[in-house]
Amino acid sequence: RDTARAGDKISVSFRETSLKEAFSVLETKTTYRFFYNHKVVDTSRKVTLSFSNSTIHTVLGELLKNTDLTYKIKGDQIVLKKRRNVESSTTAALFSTGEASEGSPGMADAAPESAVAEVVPAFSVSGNVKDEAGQPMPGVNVVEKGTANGTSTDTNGDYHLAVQDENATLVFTFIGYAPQEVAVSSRSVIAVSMALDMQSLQEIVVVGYGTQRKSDLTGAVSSVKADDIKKMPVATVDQALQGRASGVTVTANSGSPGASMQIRVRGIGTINNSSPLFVVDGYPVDNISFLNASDIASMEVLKDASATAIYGSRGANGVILITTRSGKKSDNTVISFDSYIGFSQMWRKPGLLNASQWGMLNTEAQNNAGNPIIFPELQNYQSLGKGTDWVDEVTRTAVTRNNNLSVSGGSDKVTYFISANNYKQEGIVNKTDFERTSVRINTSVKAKRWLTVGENLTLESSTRHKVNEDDEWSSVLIQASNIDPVTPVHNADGSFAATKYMDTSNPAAQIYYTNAFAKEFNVVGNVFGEVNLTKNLQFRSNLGLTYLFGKDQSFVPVYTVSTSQRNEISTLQNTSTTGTTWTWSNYFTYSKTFGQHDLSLLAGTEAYNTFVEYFDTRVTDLIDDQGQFRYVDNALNIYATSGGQPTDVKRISSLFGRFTYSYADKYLFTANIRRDGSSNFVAKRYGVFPSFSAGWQIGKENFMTGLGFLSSLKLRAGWGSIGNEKIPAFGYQNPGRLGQSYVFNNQILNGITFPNVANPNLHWETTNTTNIGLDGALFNDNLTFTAEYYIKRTKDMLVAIPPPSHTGIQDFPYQNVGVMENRGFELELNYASNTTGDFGYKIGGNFSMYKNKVINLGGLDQIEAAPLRNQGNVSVTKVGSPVAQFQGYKTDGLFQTEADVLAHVDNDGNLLQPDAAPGDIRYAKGDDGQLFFGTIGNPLPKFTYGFNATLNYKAFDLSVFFQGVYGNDVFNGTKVYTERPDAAYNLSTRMLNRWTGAGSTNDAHFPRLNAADANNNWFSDRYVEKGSYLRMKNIQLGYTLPKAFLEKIKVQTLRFYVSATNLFTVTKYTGFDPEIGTGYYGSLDLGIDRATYPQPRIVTGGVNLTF
Amino acid sequence: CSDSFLDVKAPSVSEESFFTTEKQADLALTGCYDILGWDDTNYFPFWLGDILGHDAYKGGEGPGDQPWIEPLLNFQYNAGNPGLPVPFQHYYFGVNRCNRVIEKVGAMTKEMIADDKKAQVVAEARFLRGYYYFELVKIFGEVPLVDKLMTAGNYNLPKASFDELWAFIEADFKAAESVLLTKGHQDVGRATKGAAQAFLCKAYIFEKKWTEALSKANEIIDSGDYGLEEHYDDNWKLDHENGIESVFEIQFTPSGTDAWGDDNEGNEFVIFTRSRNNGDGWGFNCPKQSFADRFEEDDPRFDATFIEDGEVLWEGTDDETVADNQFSSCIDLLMGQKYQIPPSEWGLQSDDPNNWIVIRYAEVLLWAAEAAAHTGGDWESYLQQVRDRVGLDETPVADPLQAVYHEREVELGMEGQRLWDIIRQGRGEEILGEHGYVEGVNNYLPIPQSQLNFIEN
Repeated sequence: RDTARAGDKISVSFRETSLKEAFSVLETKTTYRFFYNHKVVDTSRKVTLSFSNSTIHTVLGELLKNTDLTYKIKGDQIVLKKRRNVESSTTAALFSTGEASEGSPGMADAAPESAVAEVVPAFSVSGNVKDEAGQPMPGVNVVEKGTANGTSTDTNGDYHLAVQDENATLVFTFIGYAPQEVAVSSRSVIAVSMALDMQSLQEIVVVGYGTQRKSDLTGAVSSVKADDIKKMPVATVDQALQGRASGVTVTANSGSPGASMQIRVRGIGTINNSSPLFVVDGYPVDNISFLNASDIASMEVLKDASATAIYGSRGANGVILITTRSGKKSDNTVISFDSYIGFSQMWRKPGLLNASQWGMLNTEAQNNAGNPIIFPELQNYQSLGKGTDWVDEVTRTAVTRNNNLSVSGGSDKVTYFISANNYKQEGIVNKTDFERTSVRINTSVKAKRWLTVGENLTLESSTRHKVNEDDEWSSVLIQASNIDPVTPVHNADGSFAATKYMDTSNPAAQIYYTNAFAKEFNVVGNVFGEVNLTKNLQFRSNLGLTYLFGKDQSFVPVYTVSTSQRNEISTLQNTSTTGTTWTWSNYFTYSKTFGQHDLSLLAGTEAYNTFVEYFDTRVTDLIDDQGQFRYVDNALNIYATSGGQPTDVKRISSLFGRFTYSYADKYLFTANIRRDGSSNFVAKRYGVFPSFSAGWQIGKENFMTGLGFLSSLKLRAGWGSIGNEKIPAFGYQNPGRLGQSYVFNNQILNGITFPNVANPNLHWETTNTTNIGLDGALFNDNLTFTAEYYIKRTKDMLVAIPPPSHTGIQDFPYQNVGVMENRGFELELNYASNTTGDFGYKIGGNFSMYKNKVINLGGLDQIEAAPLRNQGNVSVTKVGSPVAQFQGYKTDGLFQTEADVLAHVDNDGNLLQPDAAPGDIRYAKGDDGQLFFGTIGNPLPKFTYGFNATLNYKAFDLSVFFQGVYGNDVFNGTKVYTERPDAAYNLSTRMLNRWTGAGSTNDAHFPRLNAADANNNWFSDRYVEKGSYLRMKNIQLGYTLPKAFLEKIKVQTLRFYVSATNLFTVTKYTGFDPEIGTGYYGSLDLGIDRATYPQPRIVTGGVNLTF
Repeated sequence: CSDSFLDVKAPSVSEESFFTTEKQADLALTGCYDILGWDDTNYFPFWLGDILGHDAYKGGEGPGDQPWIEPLLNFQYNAGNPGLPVPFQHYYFGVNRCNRVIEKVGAMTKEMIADDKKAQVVAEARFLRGYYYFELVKIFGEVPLVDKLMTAGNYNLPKASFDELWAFIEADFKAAESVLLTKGHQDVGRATKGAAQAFLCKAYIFEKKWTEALSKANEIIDSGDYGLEEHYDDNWKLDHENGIESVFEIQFTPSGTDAWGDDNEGNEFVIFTRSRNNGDGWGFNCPKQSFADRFEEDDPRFDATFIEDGEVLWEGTDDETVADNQFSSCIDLLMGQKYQIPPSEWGLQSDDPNNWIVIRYAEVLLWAAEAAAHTGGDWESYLQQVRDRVGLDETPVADPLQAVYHEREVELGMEGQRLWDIIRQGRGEEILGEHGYVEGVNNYLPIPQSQLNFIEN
């Protein structure tokens, strides 16, 4: 296939020319491009040679004569590398590992001077080599270990090699991939999958506005494998990130399909928005819900300032770089089809009382309060039986389906990747689901020799059905936990039943009458052009665009379940969202190598603009009150149209630059600088943010060569400063808010207020990070590790401080006041076995810990947040402590006798709990002799971790992945009603352990029952639980059908698998699920369980098909 | 990019460029009135007045429902009580809105707004500011005095003294009185001259300035703009709202939406105080038998004040209902009658149409009586007007002050006045001592804990 070009005769002469320059000359004279790792390939050798009308093989053969280099031609690429067996440095070896096996005419031109190693092949092996995505890999070197005998794979990834005997070992190598050794073991067919060599020094990682060799990195960067992401049956890519990278904490805010995730890179950097920036194919976006996990090729998390500084303020909370898949030049168009179906269930049900148990405890509570008997049937509780299991009534076994089709390929000029995906997940709570349909088209066109243009485009639409899942009073799971088990779901006539014991709604009816969805349609794409101005200077322009159209609808028909659960007039609410966001980046990259010096420069500009508008319409009394016609036009009463949210408008303009320099590949230096201007500020609109970092490849120093087990060791250190401006726009003004109406002459008149206060001095929040990292590889690269330590200090923190009430300022104006610090340590460890015979395995793990401390709150001692059920604020952020701690009383057992109550006095002898009686909780005293009220728990974990293992045996593959957090507390808000001693609602079965008389129990979790209780329901450590958990996040077993069989049906690969997500969870937490993200009340509402929608356990089966 | 790229136009009006037209002045003024109708601000004094006055039980679902009131019932006043921040904050929202109108409209030029219109707008805002401060001082005692818009940053203030606060309140009502139009000469619901005079009178009463109070009450009486409803219970009928007896009432009208709480312009405390077994009531504020027992026999105000269990309501109409007060927190099986209207007139859930009456003419007469009793005047003639309306002879109570006190408690029963009357009359320990009231300790609710850092002592 190279003959046409290889046949082109070349005339060229070199005179004391370095190989490097010679290659450059050849690049100008031919269509070939040279690729090599300049760390491995020494191109300083000078040659003096002359050719006329020679083939490329002749030229290369001469150029590389007597070197340890070999070459391979792939299309118009010439890849140079070191020959593995340096000692047999013959050109014969060169050809035997090059194109010779395909009978290239070049072979005749450069007839070997000496014979191939004297071996008599006795055993023949063939097979197919695939890449990490299951695509056939052409050009992989296959060499018999310990010999020069070898070949490379053809365009279909197939190879044939005659080896010495059946005990030979094959070595498969390809640049950027981990080498594999496979013992032949008498097999004649050996299929191999090559894995991207994430640790290898050749590894290229995507960094801001470019790529870098991983070995040259001086910042803190974690990579996440696309394969791992694809294994999870998840709606959004961010869910699959959980536990995969050190320093990245991903917490589900809810198990509801399509719910958002809380992602924190290196702790909580600031009290305001701490979400990272996502950069998809060079286009910075704020969320990635539009992405289909199957389309992802690689992900990198930039963690420290020296890595993120190039993104300036937009990357203040870390940057997650995502590259989507692209086509490869190939004669064979690759068509892949992936499909799975899964079934999800609750992984555990909370223990709630059945009917006769609740009857018993309720009766006891009423009796203890001395209340009259209102419901005689409850007294006769033995006859009530089990009653209704309300959690069962609102949950189900739900189905998840995913179908994905992609086509990719390419020619010399064009590569393309096209995919279509449909994902639908039903939630375990009835009537919740999420469905997304998306198509992606990625193309790249080499338009001119100097110009490459391309685009990445996604069209995505999603629909999410929700029920009431968040409200702390009336979410479906709260109602199901609260409502008594005595009441049936339906009355005898089939209508929904209402409880007469409490004011809780029938949750089954609540779901039945809920008709709510959120639709989104996203067009996200970018176009780019890349111009090679000179050999060293490149210009790239990238324009990214997002069009967002959203529609949320809620329709409530007329119905009556009870007097308190009814809707008297049908209501239709529509909220529409339209938005345009664009980012335009333009930058030059210059790189130059001279001698041992490598340097590159980057300089560019970027402009960002977003405009999102919301429109809210509420109408009532639809012409058909059961809602067949859910359109605004069908309402008899069109009374309200309003902007539900303020319009979002923001612009940022930036200048940025980067300088990287390395000497002898051992001493590395990077400096970044970015100047951002934000429309959020007027007085100090621009911020300049520099960063510096350096690396030292200690492993390459001579004094380290004695340590044979050590393959590489790199020490990194960096410091950087980054700005953040992620606050609502126009804080420098006091915007008006209409709808402040009053009634005159019985007519409602609109009014306005200005609820904030202008702060024209708002300016950039700055985060300074110091990072020290160590990367190493041991035992022939089998074991690799990365360790990081950092100190991250945020100053001039933009905090929305609750103003004193007497100011009358309603909103919380932002001010630059706080200082907060995070110090953390991260470790990633990976071990990959050598593949021997049929068996290979890999294990890896990551560990992250950080300590958060609030240093200053601008004169405030503390900020309280996160109220729960009208009983006060659960969360308090105090100077000197970590953010968002739980506050409350401390319990100290139960009063056993009246004497105990009387003995609980303050320093003056006054009763501390005058209303208490035996069986009630005794609250602990503080130092001042009064009841202690203070910090009672910490929602931040001591550490988080993830670990995984993959095993391959013959055609089988098995992977497991665990993820966990340790040392955090959860404020179990559900106990505020499921363990309340008045038994007004249904109770947890734990309350069967309640105090029933002196000495029965001293456990403050279980005070006496008392319908008139006013003593035991205070916020206290009674509600704080250990939130640690370890979860088997995923386990997958796959089987790949034999090649011989597949060839008959013209299929390249066919793999079946079964998989389970959240199969088991080890935790002491007693609520629905220990994984609690950010709550109802924003960034300081952490770890407070308000009956959070739990994570489902999903069992899936699927197929991967390629042809 | 050039700097102008970053000069983004805000999508909403801002304070900095507002206040240039009459229409804008009106919009901002309506925003000042808006706080009056915030339900959670309103039912706070209402509940405290009746429930902490121990004329009524808290009611509701039980002790766990609105649990913040429980310790207050025993006069365990704790600055950390979660019920305190809302009214404290909301009245100051009102103050802030009024300060803005007074300052910004006050600075508008003749070209922007006519002089008389400007005077009217500012006077209404001063009336409302006086009202918000009056409520703050009544509930919390000495509080910070904010008389202008605050800028970002320096917020801390000392508490103002009672002298300063009352002087400020008086000045606002006096300023309003001198400009505002009399009742009937403007939109129903707006502050009137009479309302300003009545609040000024109320302030004098609270300040124990009996002479001034009496003369101000007489001004209102002599104006002829007010009188008593022929039937006592007509005061709470929808078709008598803003009637002859009404001096100032907070206006509500159903929004007709299914919106809850403050998201509509309807009244929420009606559903709060309706029986749990009649309609969708929440059963709060259940009168005590001990309060009902203080009514004179044959006082028709008893029936207008209480719903007894089993009583037939709206008899002979489509709304006829048998009252069912049999729920556990309604201990004496009594519910309040005044704000209950026939089911056919209910709004949706928390969107009821009833106005909340703040001052009615009968109270002006009782202030006159109280002031006269203190100053040795003819208290009886004022008092008797109130009694005549309900067909009662002269008061059975001999002591003038005690007679006025008794008349107030039955005339204004379940109207949210009781606690404040007892306290300002210095009778806290006498009447509420058995519940834990201590004079000098429980006269005012504590300023919320969260605010103490901002208020210099």
